[in-house]
Amino acid sequence: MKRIFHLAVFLIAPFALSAQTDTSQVNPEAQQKYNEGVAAYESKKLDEAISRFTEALALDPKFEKALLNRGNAYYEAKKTDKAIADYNTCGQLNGPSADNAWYMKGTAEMDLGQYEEAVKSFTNAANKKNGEAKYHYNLGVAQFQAGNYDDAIGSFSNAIRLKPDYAFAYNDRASAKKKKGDLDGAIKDYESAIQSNPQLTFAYNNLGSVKRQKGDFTGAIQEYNNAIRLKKDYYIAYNNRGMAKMDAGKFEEAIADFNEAIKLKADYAFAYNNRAACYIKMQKYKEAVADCDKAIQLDAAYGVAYLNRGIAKEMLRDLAGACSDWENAAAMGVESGETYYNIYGVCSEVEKYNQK
Amino acid sequence: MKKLLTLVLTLSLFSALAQQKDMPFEKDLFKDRKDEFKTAKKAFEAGEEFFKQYQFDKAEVEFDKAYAFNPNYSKLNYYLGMCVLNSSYKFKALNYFKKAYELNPNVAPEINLLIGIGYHINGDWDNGIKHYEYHKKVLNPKNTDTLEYINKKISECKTGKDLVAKPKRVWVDNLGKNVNTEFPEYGPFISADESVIIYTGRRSDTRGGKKDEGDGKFFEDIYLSKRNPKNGEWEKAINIGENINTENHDAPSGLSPDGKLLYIFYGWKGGGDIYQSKLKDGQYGKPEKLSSNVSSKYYESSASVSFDGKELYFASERPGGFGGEDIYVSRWDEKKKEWGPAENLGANINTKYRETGVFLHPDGETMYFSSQGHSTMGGFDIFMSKRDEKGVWGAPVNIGYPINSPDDDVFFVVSGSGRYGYYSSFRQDGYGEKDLYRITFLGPEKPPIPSTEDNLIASLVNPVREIVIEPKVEVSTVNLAILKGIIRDARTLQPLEAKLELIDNDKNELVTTLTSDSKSGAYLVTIPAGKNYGISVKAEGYLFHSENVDIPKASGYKEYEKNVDLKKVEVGQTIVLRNIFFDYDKATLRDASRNELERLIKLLNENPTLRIEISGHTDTQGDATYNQKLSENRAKAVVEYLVRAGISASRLEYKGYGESKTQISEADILKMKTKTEREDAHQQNRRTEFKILSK
Repeated sequence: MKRIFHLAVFLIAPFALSAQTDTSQVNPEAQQKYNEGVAAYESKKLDEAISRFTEALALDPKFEKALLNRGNAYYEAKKTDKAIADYNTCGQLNGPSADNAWYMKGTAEMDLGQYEEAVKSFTNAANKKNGEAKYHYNLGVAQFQAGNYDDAIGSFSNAIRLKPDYAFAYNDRASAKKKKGDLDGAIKDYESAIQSNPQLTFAYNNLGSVKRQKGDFTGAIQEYNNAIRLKKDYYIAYNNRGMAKMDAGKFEEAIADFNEAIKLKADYAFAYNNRAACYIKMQKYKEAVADCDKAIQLDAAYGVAYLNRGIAKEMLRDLAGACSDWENAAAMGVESGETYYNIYGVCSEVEKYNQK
Repeated sequence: MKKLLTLVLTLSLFSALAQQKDMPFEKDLFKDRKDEFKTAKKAFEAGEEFFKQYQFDKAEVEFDKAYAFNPNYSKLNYYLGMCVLNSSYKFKALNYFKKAYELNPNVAPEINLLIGIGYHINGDWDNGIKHYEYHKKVLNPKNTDTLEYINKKISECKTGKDLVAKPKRVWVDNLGKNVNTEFPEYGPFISADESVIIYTGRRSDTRGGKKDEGDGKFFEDIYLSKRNPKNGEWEKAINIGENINTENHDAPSGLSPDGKLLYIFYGWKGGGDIYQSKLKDGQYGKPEKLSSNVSSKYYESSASVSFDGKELYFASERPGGFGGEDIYVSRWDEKKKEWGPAENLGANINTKYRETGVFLHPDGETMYFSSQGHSTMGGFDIFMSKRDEKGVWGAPVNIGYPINSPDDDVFFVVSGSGRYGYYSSFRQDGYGEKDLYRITFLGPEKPPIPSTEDNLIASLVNPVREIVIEPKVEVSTVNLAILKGIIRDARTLQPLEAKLELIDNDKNELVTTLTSDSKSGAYLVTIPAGKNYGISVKAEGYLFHSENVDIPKASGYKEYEKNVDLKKVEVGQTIVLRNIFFDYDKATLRDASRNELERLIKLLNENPTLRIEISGHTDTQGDATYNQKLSENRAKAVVEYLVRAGISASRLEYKGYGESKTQISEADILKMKTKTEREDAHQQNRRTEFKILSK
């Protein structure tokens, strides 16, 4: 899971701090190995760093900082399972670095998609150091990813209480509220996020999407405009603005936005699929088929694109093609595919006469 | 100012020139064209004579000759408009009426009414209403009948405007040159599976080759076309033959869902009567008049029989109705072997205007008919009514534009699937006159599904894909199954005449019986939704064959093609008992199995030396050991039932095969793409069989 801020930013700070403190109470030889490990890590020699930290821990198994920093080295070396094990051991020691260890464990678990585990780790981190806003924020993110939106809203609220201008927390609480169907609440929080940080491009985009969901297409388009003004290559906002324009019946303008999204991201299957949807509404079925072809070429498991291509093919009276596409869509879990396949027994009839 | 004055003068001059002078057939007006004048005047007078006798097509021919000489006579334009209004191309009448009015606004007192009708027929609703209103203003208020007529026409225009604004999503396709010709074709009827179409044609090959003096067209005959089972194309239509067609008018008025009963309308017999012809050995036999409960001394036209042969819907002008033709139903009297007393369908369906062209869909719960009385957009429109669970027909719904038009729309039939409708229409791009067309109902628009994503989580780069709730598409599809195929001798593969019984398993009731065709072995059963049905096929000297069709309430349309090869009573033969049911996950026989078990008992009693093995089989879902035990217990339960019914235990063995002898392998099931296909396959594998061990 790619995070917007590279983890090294978080890693180096505690690591550097660890290198300079807390070493006086441990075995001097272990301390020596530990310091060598720190130097190796700073030189990006991760394997060597891991060896030195391991040697330090052999001499002093409860050397908390060595555990944490070996975990960090493992994490940097993409040996996430080993990193999690070290963070866990460190956290269990319940020493001064425990909150950081739990936090890092949660972060590593998030990378692996282990959201329920991450929730436990971030909870431990927050319990250990309740005043740290980012622990509550990340707990909220893990809860969101686990689908526990009520809990997520609580955690984001805690983060905001500790840090009232926490724009990310506002944005994410808005998203959790959106998931809960509280669209008005979501709008309010996205607006707070923007107020806290007017440069938060994605918050404008997200606000636009909630307004679109509410049927306020004009408002939605305005928010997407704001997002695009701040980030000219924001293909997601172009795609979403295209959707809002399509919903508003401005098909030509919608096509222009999908074109732009494709120009910015040539492999953006969503934009091809959405342009196809717009062409279907414009009754330009050949163009719709061509776009669905492209979307499917980019993502062979894109069930919705199969469904849409089937709709366009039906209108072109290519029933055999439509039935084949609906059948594929159904096999990919798109329920409408099965409905359309079975409707009126048309597809059975196609099979019977093998008609085109 | 000078420029403006010049413009006004020019416009006035142009207007005066544009105003044509009325040019009656007076010789002084055509001094320099005396010879042509004489011929044209003669044609005009001949046309008038035909017109007075209501022979509009002949009148039109003469008027056309006169018109070629002198198109600027108001009365001639009026006459031609009237002739065209009585033809298949009514839409051309408007220009004649408009010109008649321009030449002489007093050409006829009802000229505004006629212009209104002309606009109406062309779907120009606003102008139609405007001219109807003009006529209303000059109408004597005491003329209440005409006032009512005009108000109805205005109302029709309003309905038309509404319906055209919300057109139905359909394709309309000409049935092609194998069905249609330059002559009129109309009144189509189809079997539920659309394998055959029977319709009226007024062609030169009509039996006797004569024309009706009334309208100058060939007498109606009945034609038949079959659909090629390989490519779905309609084959060259044939005249249905001398058993049915006479030298007078002969028209089909209905066809049973399996195509075996043809109803015929002989308008010249008994004031208009309905006859019935049965298909036997591939030929429709000599028609027989329906009993007087249906074919009375009054006018009866269209007829439609229910899928189970127990109800006959028909149109009649008999007294006691609501006015004009009404729709009636007659129920089959099994004791008397004839149709019972007719019942008027009541005020929900019938009006003081005409209702005709009734068609009961094979689903048994949908009726289509034509009416002038309900909310039409002009003349007859086609309406649909649904029967509720209490058997009451609901308020009719106009089936909409473009199926209905401002002109008369009569005789509309719908395929068993509900996907296709058949009707006749006069269209410019047709083969001439009225042609038969197939309407494909596309149903509500299928909304395309878009995909969106947002950066919902600020600290994550990857956007979160929005889960799009798939829109629910309301599809008004029929809930019906058609089971059809050929019954043959399993060894010789020769077609067999066999008896089929359709049984409502839940009620253990016989729904209907039918017989396969002795020549082709073909059969077709129409089965409405909402029940579990058992189908048994029996023929003398053969083991019975059973099928099961479970059709839940909203299951849509399915067509099953099932050829049945009946087996002789021989050692080693195996029969699947599709209508034996157990409680879920248990070996307790359900009551719905009774009919099938009784059939088996009957077989054993008729063949007292027969020894059989009952075997149980499961699908491949669940634990194999458990399945094996379950199948054995189920086979045992069947044997115990038979023993209780008096069959000696020494004649019976049982065995459980679990999932070891599937009819469809797990590998094949895994290849199936849809859930429905996979569930059907598992259902096929869950079964009870019997095998003849000795005889």
